[in-house]
Amino acid sequence: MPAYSSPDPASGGLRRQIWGTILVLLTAGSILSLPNALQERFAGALRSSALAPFIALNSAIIDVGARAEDAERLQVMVDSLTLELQARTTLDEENRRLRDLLVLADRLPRGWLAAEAVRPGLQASEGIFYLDVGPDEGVKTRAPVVTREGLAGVLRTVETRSQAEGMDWSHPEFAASAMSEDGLTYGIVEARRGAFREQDRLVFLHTPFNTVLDSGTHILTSGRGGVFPRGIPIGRIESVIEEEGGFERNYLVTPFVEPGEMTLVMVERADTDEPPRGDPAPGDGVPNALVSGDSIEDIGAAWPPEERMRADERARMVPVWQDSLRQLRDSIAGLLGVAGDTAGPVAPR
Amino acid sequence: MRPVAVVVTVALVLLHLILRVGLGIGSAAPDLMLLALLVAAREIPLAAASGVGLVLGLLEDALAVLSFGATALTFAVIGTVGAATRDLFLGDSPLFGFSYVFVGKLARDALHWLLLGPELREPFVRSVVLEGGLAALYVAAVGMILFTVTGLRWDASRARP
Repeated sequence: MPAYSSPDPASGGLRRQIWGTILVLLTAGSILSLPNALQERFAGALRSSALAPFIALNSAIIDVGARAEDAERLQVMVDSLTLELQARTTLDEENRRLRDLLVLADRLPRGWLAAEAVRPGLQASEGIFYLDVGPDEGVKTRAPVVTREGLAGVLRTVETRSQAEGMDWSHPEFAASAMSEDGLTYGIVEARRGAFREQDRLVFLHTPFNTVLDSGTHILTSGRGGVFPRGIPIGRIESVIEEEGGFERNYLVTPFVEPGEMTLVMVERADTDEPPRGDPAPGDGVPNALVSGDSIEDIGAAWPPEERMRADERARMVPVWQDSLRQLRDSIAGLLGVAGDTAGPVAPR
Repeated sequence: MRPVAVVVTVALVLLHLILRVGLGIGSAAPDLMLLALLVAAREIPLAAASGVGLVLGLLEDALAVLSFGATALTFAVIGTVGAATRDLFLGDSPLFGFSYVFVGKLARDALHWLLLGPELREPFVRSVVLEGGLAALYVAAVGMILFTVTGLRWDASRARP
């Protein structure tokens, strides 16, 4: 099809075209000079009719972009909150350990020092830890090391001015004189290696055959031997493992202290005013069974029976304590006529 | 008006509105509305070309806030002049196609600048010479591609029987 060609000037078509063009141009000029209100009404009509699909497309794209920005902003917020939560979890854990140490320090008699335990983490040094206290702080060899959970270990050597080396209960050389919580069954607690370090357990050896300890029975230090004071929780009976020759029973014991979680500990100082262990004053009510070297000091009150548990068990109980404290606070607020804030955090003691 | 010119004109107008209004990419898209008008102006009578310019200009003006009618009058004039070039240039060479679109775009920007109120005008050199020149090159290049792809030519020897 050929392109359009202008009409012949001799015909009247060209004149009509020119007049038509002039009319259009005059119309355009008059639109330009319309009052603003009328122009705006005209423009609005065009926007809501011919241009509506394109404006709607633009709005949709802007919405999608805004949603994408919102999603990115929300993702950034979630990431920030996650990081904060992770940091807070570490902080909560550290706070819990410090609180545990404070509680234990309040309950122990004078002469116990707080110390930080560092584990070398080498394969050849399993069961070994170092404390940041030493002779300068009055710490001596064979001093017991405890945590809020119970007996952690004992110092092997005091090295430099403010450092000591200790072994925890998982060390092959560790042993402690122990007893059942009722004080009727005595024996020796030693470490027993598992297939993995996580399976390391204690064994309660050489207990009388005529006494049977139920699972869950708490095992405490007996004070015999003079190394450990009486009453420090060691663990709880898990099961009977051996019955040797009909004259003694051996039990598997789940220790309260997890060596890997042992960071803040209490260690006994030697230069206290307390009467030395193994040298009881005559006529002070010490049982006749005690022999020279046994400890008359019972520090079991520092670990009330209802609080003897592993650290992970205690950590799981924290939310329960928080809820209880929150309910108590709400009850008090209700009694006082003040609205309680059930959403607010309550720091557990 | 040849069918291919109708299709090209309508497609250019729709594409212009999608790119500039729908997607909002602004001057990153070439002035396809003007290109559509220049194509149509070579294919339809003088009065119709000015009328098409008026309609397309009104569509653009509907989105302008302060200068309603300026583009309509500009496009009406461009449409008129574009249709008038039919009797002055054959329009069968690539050079004509490029120059036609390039000059048309410069003329559109210059006329629009004149019709804007003094308070709305930006400096002439910047808005018309520099930015308008670059935009004219841009749309002329697009026009060349379009003419090549669609085969649009305005050969007077074929037009006149």
